[in-house]
Amino acid sequence: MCKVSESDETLSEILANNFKAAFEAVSGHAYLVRTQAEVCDLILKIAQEAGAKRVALAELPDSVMDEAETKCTAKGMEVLRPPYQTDTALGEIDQVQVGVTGARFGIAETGTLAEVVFDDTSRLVSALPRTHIGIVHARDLVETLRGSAARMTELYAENPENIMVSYISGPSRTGDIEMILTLGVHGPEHAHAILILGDDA
Amino acid sequence: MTTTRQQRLNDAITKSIEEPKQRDALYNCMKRGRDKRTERLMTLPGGAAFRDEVKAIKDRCIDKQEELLERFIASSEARGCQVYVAKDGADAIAYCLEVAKKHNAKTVSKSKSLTTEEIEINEDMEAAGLSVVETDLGELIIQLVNEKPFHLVFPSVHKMRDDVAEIFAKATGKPVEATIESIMPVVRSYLRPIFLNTDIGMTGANVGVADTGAICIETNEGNGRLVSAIGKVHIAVMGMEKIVETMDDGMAMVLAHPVSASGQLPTTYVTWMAGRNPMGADGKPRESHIVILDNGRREMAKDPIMRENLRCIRCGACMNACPTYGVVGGHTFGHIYPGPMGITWTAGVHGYDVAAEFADLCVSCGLCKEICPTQIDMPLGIAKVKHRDHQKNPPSFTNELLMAAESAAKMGCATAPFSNISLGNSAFRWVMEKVTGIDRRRDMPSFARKTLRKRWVSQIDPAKVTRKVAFFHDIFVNYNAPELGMKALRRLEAQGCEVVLPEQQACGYPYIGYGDLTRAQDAAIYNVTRLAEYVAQGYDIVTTEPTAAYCLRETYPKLLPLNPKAKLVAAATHEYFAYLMDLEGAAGTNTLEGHIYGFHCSCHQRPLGMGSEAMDWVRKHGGSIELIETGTCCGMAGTFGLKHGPMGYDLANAVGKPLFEAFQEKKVDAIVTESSVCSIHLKEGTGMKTVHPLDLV
Repeated sequence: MCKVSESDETLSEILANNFKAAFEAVSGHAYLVRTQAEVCDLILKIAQEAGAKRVALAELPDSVMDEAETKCTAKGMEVLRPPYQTDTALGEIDQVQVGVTGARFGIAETGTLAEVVFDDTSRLVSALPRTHIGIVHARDLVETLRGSAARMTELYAENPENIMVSYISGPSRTGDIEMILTLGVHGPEHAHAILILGDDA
Repeated sequence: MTTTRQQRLNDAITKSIEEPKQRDALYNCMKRGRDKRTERLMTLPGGAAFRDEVKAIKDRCIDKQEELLERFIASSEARGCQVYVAKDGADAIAYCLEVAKKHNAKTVSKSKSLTTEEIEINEDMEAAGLSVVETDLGELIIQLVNEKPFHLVFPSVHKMRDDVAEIFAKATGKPVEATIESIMPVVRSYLRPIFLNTDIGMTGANVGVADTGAICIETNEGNGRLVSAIGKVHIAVMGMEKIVETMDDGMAMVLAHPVSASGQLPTTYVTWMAGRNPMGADGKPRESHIVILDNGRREMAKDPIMRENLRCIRCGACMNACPTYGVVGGHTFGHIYPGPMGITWTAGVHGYDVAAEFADLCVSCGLCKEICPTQIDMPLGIAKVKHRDHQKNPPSFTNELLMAAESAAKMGCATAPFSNISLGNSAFRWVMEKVTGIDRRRDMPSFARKTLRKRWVSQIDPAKVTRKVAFFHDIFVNYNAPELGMKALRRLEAQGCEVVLPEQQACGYPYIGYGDLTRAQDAAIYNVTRLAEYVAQGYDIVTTEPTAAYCLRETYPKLLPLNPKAKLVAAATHEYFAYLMDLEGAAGTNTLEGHIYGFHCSCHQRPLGMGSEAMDWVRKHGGSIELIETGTCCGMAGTFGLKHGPMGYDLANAVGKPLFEAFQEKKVDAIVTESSVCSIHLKEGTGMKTVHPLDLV
């Protein structure tokens, strides 16, 4: 766990640092940023490093998607965003190299992004591409896995019909051949988490 | 006479011993699982105490199973799921085939589900013309070669990279280089079109939550997400016992499961599905079917011993601890479910007869129970499987003899020294091996002409008595090592203990190991009745034999659940050194200065405190001592390792080898252990001096 060095560090910053350490311990990459511009610059940078031709977005505020789209298309990438059409979504998202999704909350102890969705095309955006970027507000981090049960209970009470929650802690992994940790067997080989501090973004 | 079953098990053991590559892979897999689990436990608040909480949650939910089932059905139907309660495998399969037919389905992609393996649904779906693909890599590997899981969590641990490359070369029709980096992209591109063209996405469920109607699917690879999102129809097959009450209960399982399996927290992907989402802008509802499987679970709930099985969360920790599973693997030690839990669970869902086919591989060391996150008493459940089997297939003559070891010991003492001369005579031992099945290479302890009971005369001045001890000697210190018994008791006297030797029988643990619950209960009643009288008069019960302490403390209350005396005796029972250290305090001598010892903790001593007091006692006499262990059994397992043949001596030595090597590498002056039987095995296995702590000073 990270050390708290500055006395004025807020609780959400402490949790964000804990999250970062935990997420990186399971082979993910985590970043702490403060503004929407930083978020979108990071998306672009990761997409460029992944050599992406196509990027898909889901479960994000329009302003983030607008800015990310502008920045990525400027570099020649194709950007897909909701609504996804039922008949074509699967084929399209399968051809994407980077999927970017917003998480409703996160768990600091375990480095877990909690993606809450009501349309399964959003699940595909985080599950099919080689690279996944999850974005969460540091103020939405809960401390522990067990503690997240309360948050989940609220969510179920607020949503009496279909609701899908995915806890995502790092990239897809397997140890099925000789117990050797290998990433990206089906889903993302590279997992990035962007944590937003403050209320600007 | 050797039965077909014995012959089959013997052959399998011999074959495993001769195949070191597979055995080493399994050994490393298990060791890693155990070590990572231990490491993770250190980081949890409360450490291993989470087991008590998980057990309590499961017990509460099993008590309310029928009510929670109704609540789960109501809440998940309210979210749009279709729920079906299937009485057995055939019923569940018929339902799934009906769903497939209704949707004119051609393809089924599965994420790992032991419950669907339990009912062998793949075979029937394939027979109905469906193409069925397991998408978990380990499961896919064994599906492609038509095998069952070798390990619960790592089903293909016995396949090396060359094997896997060959399997995928055959599946894809293209050569695959035998490196993991080359295999992975092949797997990814092999499975991707299968995912994309899934008609039915079939999953299991690790948890169902009655309050919310949500099910939880845990995967590390992410295949559970793809299968459940893409399939035109989703079917989850879930065991009835997976239903818990609240989200908090569910979250406790999501913690306990991966921590116990591999020390991970949590599984990379934990999917909480409640109802089913539409796919894309048309917003049309999609079907999700939840098949809740009984298949013997309700029956198990009615049986006080088998009921504990329903606490199983399928983490596989028990097979990471099991010494004999570690040698033979899940194809021999298992039916569909492998390992210790495989025996009792198989008895519940596939029948006692099926379980009995491999139950003899359990040597009743109890390590499975100690590592189990819900503390299921597997040794007792397995004893029941063996016991029921004995109604049809009586135990072997050797097992009968070992269960009645006390009669043999009495005879040995009565005929000493002739019995001892015979035990040292190779021609006699050859004949004895043929007749009794006791391996002639075993250095058997000699019998004392005069037992501890005959020798013991209290010498304490009644005015100096501060405590009263009822000594439970069991077999070894009474019949074989009365000098050791005398030393132990004189030390207690020196600390103001009045020591008596109550009337008693051997503790009877071998009855559990070899599966005679009637005689185990008889022994328990005999001892409990007599010992309870002493406890009522203020006596503490003390024993030098770890297995006897374990039996009195842990096993008798389970064997006699309605007998309040069993609990009384259990609470009054002490391990010898724990008791002695309490009396003596820290004051010691320097007798052992300059000596370095390695301590062996017997399996039954582990839950009692890992022998820490015995080690402290050696230390306070100036000796240096450390626990040397591999995290599993030495292989002797009571009297199991005395038996001639693969199912005994050979298996015991295969299990013990890593521990023997660990002792030899440490270059200690001697091995110190309190267990009389482990001592024989370690001495022979290492060629090192092996002693009881009391014999050091």
